[in-house]
Amino acid sequence: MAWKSPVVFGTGDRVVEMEDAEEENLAISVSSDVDAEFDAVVGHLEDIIMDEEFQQLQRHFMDKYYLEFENTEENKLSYTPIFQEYIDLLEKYIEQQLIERIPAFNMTTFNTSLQQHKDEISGDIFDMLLTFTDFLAFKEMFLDYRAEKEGRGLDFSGDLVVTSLSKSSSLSPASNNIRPFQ
Amino acid sequence: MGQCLELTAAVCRIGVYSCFRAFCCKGPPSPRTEYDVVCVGLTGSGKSSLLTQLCSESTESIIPTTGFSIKAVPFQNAILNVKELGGADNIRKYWSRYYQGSQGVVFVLDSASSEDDLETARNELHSALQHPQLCTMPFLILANHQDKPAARSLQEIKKYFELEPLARGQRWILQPCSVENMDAVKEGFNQFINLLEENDHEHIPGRI
Repeated sequence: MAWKSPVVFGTGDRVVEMEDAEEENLAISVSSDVDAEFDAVVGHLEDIIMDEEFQQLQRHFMDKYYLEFENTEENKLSYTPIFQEYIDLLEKYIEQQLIERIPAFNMTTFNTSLQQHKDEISGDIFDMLLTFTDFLAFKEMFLDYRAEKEGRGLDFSGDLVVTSLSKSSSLSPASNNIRPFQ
Repeated sequence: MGQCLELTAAVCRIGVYSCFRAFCCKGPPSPRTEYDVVCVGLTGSGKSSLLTQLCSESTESIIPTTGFSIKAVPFQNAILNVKELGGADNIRKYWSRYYQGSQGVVFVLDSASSEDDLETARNELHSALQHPQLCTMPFLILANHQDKPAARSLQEIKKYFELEPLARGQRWILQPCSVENMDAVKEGFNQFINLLEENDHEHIPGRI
């Protein structure tokens, strides 16, 4: 448990506040360059991923292969060359786009920063980047796409049950709005 | 004066709480190290059965693996992310595509198989031991199916597979076992994890 609030000593009339201000500032000035660089890359990444060109590239690739993927624990040998092709096509595209925007960009350095900052970037972006390095995340992406194409969309209604604690509540559990997690 | 007392009381509370955590709860458990290993062996040697049983899952519906499976197998000191490959004739040629990124190899063999199959297993083990991507890694060789009457002994296997001359300079463990004796399997894996830890420390200069 961190003792975050300033410690206040009362000594008669004067109140002396002790802050860790100096320590905090020192920490900020040392890491701010690296952080700023990382933030810049993430900003561009969001633009690239949201762009129609990338979306089409990804969708076209998934359309080509989604039927190959089955929802079983065991993986077909064929998944491996598809995974390789996916990386060659899409990760390279992203890397190229980032280099156009940031000439000194280095994918390996970025991947390392990513591990350290993973709590800071949005879930969607992180999940997508994970599909380039984690085979199971890649497989999951294809299985989700196939389920969507085949009309078996994710149905959360069975997973979430909201029960009112108040006996006098007029809402019945079934009529509660179930919102997807943000 | 009153505020000093309050402060002292607060510090004492924190002190007691911290001691409590240190001696009783040990705080949040530190995460176990993970290692990526590849598991190969001929079809029927028992790879899927052993790994499934190590994950405390039922081995009832196991059929020959025709592709590859990925399992996170927990042990006391580490978690092994095992990539297990099917061992049928037509799949073995793809084994080497999965060696990249592995830190260790688990080779499973059927101690009670026919002479021909044992010879095939020997050839495959030798190829793996000499493969450029695997030759510096620790090997766990599980001489499985020891519960069968036709099972060859540890000494016979060691001799037949020519481990001493061939795998000289490499780190390997030969563990006899069967699905009936999971303690032996775990013992083999625990020793294997020690080898993986040593290998890890060697590759990071400056680490004790």
